[in-house]
Formats: sequence, C-alpha cells, structure tokens
Amino acid sequence: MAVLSKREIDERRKLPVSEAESLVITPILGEDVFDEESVDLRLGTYFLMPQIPPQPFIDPNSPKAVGQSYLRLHTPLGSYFVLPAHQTVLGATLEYIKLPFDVSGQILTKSSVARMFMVIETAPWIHPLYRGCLTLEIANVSNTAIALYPGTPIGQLVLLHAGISEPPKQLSGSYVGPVYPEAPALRHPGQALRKIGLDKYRHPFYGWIDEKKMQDQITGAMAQLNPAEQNKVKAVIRILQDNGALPVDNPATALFPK
Amino acid sequence: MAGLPEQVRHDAASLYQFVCSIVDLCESRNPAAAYLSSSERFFDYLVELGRATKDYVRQFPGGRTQPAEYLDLRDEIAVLRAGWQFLHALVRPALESDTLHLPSALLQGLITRFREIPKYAKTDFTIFHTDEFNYLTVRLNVFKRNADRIAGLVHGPTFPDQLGLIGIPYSQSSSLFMNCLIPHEMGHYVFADAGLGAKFRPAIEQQLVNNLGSQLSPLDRIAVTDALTKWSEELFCDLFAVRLVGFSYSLAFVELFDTSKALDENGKLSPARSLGMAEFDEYPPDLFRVKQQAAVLVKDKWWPELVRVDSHYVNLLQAAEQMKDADFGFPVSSQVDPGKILESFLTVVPQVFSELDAVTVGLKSGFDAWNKTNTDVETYLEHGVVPSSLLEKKGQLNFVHPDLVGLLNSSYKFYVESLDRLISHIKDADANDVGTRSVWAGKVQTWTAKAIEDVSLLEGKGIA
Repeated sequence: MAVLSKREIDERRKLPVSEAESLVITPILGEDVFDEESVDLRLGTYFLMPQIPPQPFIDPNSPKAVGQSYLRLHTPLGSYFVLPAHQTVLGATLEYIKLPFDVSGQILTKSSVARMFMVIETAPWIHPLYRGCLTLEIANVSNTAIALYPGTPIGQLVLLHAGISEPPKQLSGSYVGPVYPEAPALRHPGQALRKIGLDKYRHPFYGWIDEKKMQDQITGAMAQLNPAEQNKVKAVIRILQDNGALPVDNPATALFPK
Repeated sequence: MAGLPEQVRHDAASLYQFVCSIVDLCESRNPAAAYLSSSERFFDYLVELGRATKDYVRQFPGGRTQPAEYLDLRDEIAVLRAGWQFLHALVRPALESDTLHLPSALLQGLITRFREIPKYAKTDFTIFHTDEFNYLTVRLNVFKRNADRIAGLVHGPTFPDQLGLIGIPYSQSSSLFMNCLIPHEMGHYVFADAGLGAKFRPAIEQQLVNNLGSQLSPLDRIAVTDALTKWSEELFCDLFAVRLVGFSYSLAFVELFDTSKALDENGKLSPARSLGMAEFDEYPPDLFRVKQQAAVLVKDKWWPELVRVDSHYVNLLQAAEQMKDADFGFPVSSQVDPGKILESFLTVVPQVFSELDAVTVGLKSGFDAWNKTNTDVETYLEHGVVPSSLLEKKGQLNFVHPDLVGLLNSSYKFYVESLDRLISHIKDADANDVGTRSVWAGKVQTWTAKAIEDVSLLEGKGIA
C-alpha cells in the first residue's frame, strides 16, 4: 500500500465530488496543513465525555445505556477543554473528509501532541469512501491535566492506495456523514456469537441465556394459548416493560416487539 | 408589631435575597456550557443591574426618619420586586440556551446577515428557549421600560442598546430548516426600532375613516386600528424574513403551519381544504401571508427559479400567489362591512412593501450568490459531503465558499425536492420509509450547519 503524495492528494482534490476517485477535506484553513505525504487535521469543538453509566459497567446488551454513558460538551473555538490526567474523551476532527473509493486513510497523533503523552486514536483505520468528521478517541496518558484547544492541529491523516479497482454501486450508511463525535454503536453479543456457532452467552444480570432455546420455549408455551390469552400475556409483558420492571434489553422482551 | 424602619429593613432584605438568587444564577452559570456572545451580554447586564439593585437596597432605610419616607421606600421595594419578577421570566430560558442547545452556527450566520443592513451593523440577539412550539420576540419597548425603571431607581445600567430578545421552541435546537423562521422575529425588532407601527397606524385609521365613516364607533375604530396595525406588523416581518434569507423562510413557513394541506390531489388550491385559511383573524391568514411573501420573492428575483422546484410546498406558494384580494375574507359578526375593513388594510399593504425597501437599503439580495453555487451545493449534499468548499472547476485547486443565504436555500431546496437522490446512494436505505427519510433529512441539516460554520472560518481566514 503506497502512501499518497502531496501531488496525488492535490490531483484527487481537483476532481468533482461526484467522481468516485475524488477527495474532499474541508475546511482547509491554510496550505501549511499539507505535508509531503500527510495532512494535518484540527480538533473540532464537540466532545463526548465519559461519565458514570447508569449501570455498573458498559454492557453491549444495552445500547441505550451506552448513549447515557457520555456527557456531550461544546467548546467553542478560542476556548479550551481540560482533559484530566489518565482520562479519556471522544472528540472529532474539525475537518470533514470524503475518501475516494480506492484510498484508505490512517489517522495518527501529531508528534508534538504525542510527546505530551496524548493519544488521539486507538482505531486509526479509515475505510475507502468514508465521509464525515473523524471521531477521535483521545486519551491523556500523562500524569498532568492537559488543555485542549479546538481548532489546533491534533492529528495527521495519511492516505494510502487501497488497490480497489471498481467503486461500489452504493455507500454503506454507517460510513456517511457524522459531524460530531459518535458514541459506539454496540451490537447485541448474542447475534455475533451465534454467527460463530455459540447458542448461549452469559448476560451480566440474567446469567446464561440460550436465546434460541428460550424462543422455542416461549413460542411453544404461547402455542398452547388461544389468541385472547396470548394477547393478555403480551399485555402483561408490555406493562412490565413500560414500568421498568422488565428492562427493554431483556432478550425475552425482544420476542414481543411493541 | 415591629416599627416601620424594621418593616422596611425586612422587606429590603427579602428583595435582596430574591435579586441575589437571580444574580447568582447568571454569575455561576454552568462552567461546562458555552454561550453565544449575545447571551453573555444579556447575563452580564443582569448581573450589573442586580448588583446595583443590591447596593441600593442594602442601604435601606438609610437616613429616613419620617413615616412618609418609609412608606415611599416600601413603594420602591414593590416596584423593584415587580421589575425583577418580570426579568426573572427570561433568566432560566436564556441560561438553558447554551451553544449545545441552540443552532449556534445558524444563529451566528443569521446575525451576521442581519448586520449587513448598515443601520443594524452592531445589533445582536439573545436567544432563549420557549416551552411553546412557537417563535417569538420579546416586546423590547415593554421589556426595556420595565428594566430601565429598575435602573432609574437604583442608578444601574440601562438595557443594552441594539440587543433583541428572541425565543425559539426548545425542541428545535438542532433543526436548521425550521429555524429559518427566526428572521421573522428579527423583523419584529426592526419594526419596533424603525417606529413602523407609528407610521402605519395613522394611515390605517385614516383608511377606516374614509371607508367606514361613522359605521365604526370611536372605541371600535381604536380596536380595529390596533388589529390592523398588528396585521401590518406580521406582514412586514414575513416580508423582511424573505428579503433576509430568500425562499427558505417561505418553505419553513409552509412546513410549520402545514399550509400545503390546502392543496388537492392535483396540487391545486382546494376551497374545501383551505377553509378558514384565507380569513383574517388575530393574524393575517396563512395564504395571504404566503401570497405577499411571493411578491418579495418575485421582486428579489427568486421566483422564476423557485417555481421550477418540484415540491408541493412550491405548488402551494404558486397557488397562493395567484389568489386575488377578493379571495380573502374577514369574519365579523357586527353590522360593520367586513369588506371595507379588509379594504382599509389592503390599501396600506403597498406602504408595508415600501417601508421594507427603506429599512433594507444596503442589504444585497442573496439571489445572485445562491444562483452561482446552488447546483454545486446540491451535488455535494447528494454525495453526503459538507458543502463548504466547492470545487470551482475540474482540474484546478480553486474553491468557492457559498454564503449563508446560498446554503440555506440550496439545502432547503434539496430537502424538499431531491432527498431521494441522496438516499439512492445509500445501501439498504429505503426512500419510502418515513424513518429513513427523517434520518437523512437530519443529516442534510447537520451538513449544512457544518458548512455555515466552516464558511465563517474560511472567510475569516480568507483562505480557500
């Protein structure tokens, strides 16, 4: 995978946005952001600060709880955000980028930032065709608090030829358009584990769950009931769910979608 | 019972405590939140006025010795308390309106655009949340009179010059399109500042005398003149908004009031479906307002381009533009001829247009700039890219940065006409699904807001 040079980057930027090979980086606030083989990216103004989650830990079973585990903050340009020692925050680049179909990217911490023991990315790979501001997993691994100034350079974008010859017909929705830092989109572990042949997984609150077995049991039990009785069961489950007695992420409730 | 000096001291302490509670809120506002500079200005003013009030009442009862003097102080305390109770209503909504809970980029863009009117080059607006689903302006003459009464008593600062107060629905903090209605509220500021009510009122009254003579009692004439002056204000604010931000205001208006429900299955105005929408009441009717907005759109060159937009919103605008004065009514149950009342108002409408031209002298129409960038902005949005740096020509590294009016109108046009084009590029996205459309409409607004923010940075730097 060869790194794109400044000349190649410029050639891509000269292409209309409708062409699959085109590259967009905006806003470019000065030509000095371009190095021979990289582009400096600045820190944006929005942050997601981890906070004590509603549950004792972040549980992929509970996507709602994941969203509640962050505090959204805005630090306008000119102001600063203090990241305490050994703390993390999600930020985003000020620049919105559109990668060509045949180019991947990698975002690296600027060396001047890294030497303050700040890390801005733990998932640095950017897929071809990505478009959006990049979410940065910023960690202050130093022993002192550090002030972050939105608008200042924080990372370097390196672009690489991906060796893809044909652009896809459509874009994947998950790669299109974030402007703010994004909380993780966690997926239900049961689905992922089933794909590798595991029927059971251990839920932090409910113990071992065999979704298929449970589904079969519930379906079998429901089959014994007449439609009116089935509706009564569903109504009871909804009452429990609406009153918080049955958490919405309980796999049993997934069998009776609202 | 305690003596008068003690009673006054007690009441002063009570007022002091009340004012402290407001000043403390303004001073110790959430340090994690950021505010627009206009909000900061408002809070600073309240803090200063609060301090002056506290300093003043702290001296009570001072060197007074006579019962009448003590009773005067009690009156002052009552006046001050009433004044602060009035200000109190705005403090929390303004504090809650930090930059995370306002469409900050759009607001800054709108204020900058407003300041392009030379007379208002230094005007600012503090934005606060309202519980109602409505946009509103605080009547500055009432607010200022009340605040300055406090200032006069306590020798505090008067209400800042050139500061307007606008409320937006709290739920619309991230909406771009709906907030295109904010310029209407800016129009109220201009209407008051330019003394247009005092100009329209005598003209309206004269028309009523000419058209109705003694049919209206003096009291009724005052009431009808008040109502018609209010209509003229609403109309002026609509026209002002269109002049400021182009057709994006009209599209937002149609969206907010669901005015397009007046159309039949062929996209034509249906008398049955538009029942009541052409009748004047507390406000001029929606269809009348849209018709007058269309007149500004024609005058400012937007109309020929707008009518090519394939949207039921635009069908409605076209249908309203075709309506005649006789299509509008004014339901009254009195013996007075309603047609004559309406006629009196319609006679003043040209004056509203001429005042619009007068107050917006020096404001460039946004049409030409929009026309140059519109196709490109829409193409960028179609490809899911923030349209802040538009490639000027293939093969060259030159970029154009669309202005606020251009971005708003292109983006709104894209939203009502071409959202399907964007969705068609996305795998597994169903353009027929309402939820999906809502998601991508939201993204279009986010990208446009980001572009507004980017362009303000790019223009500040003067760099492509």
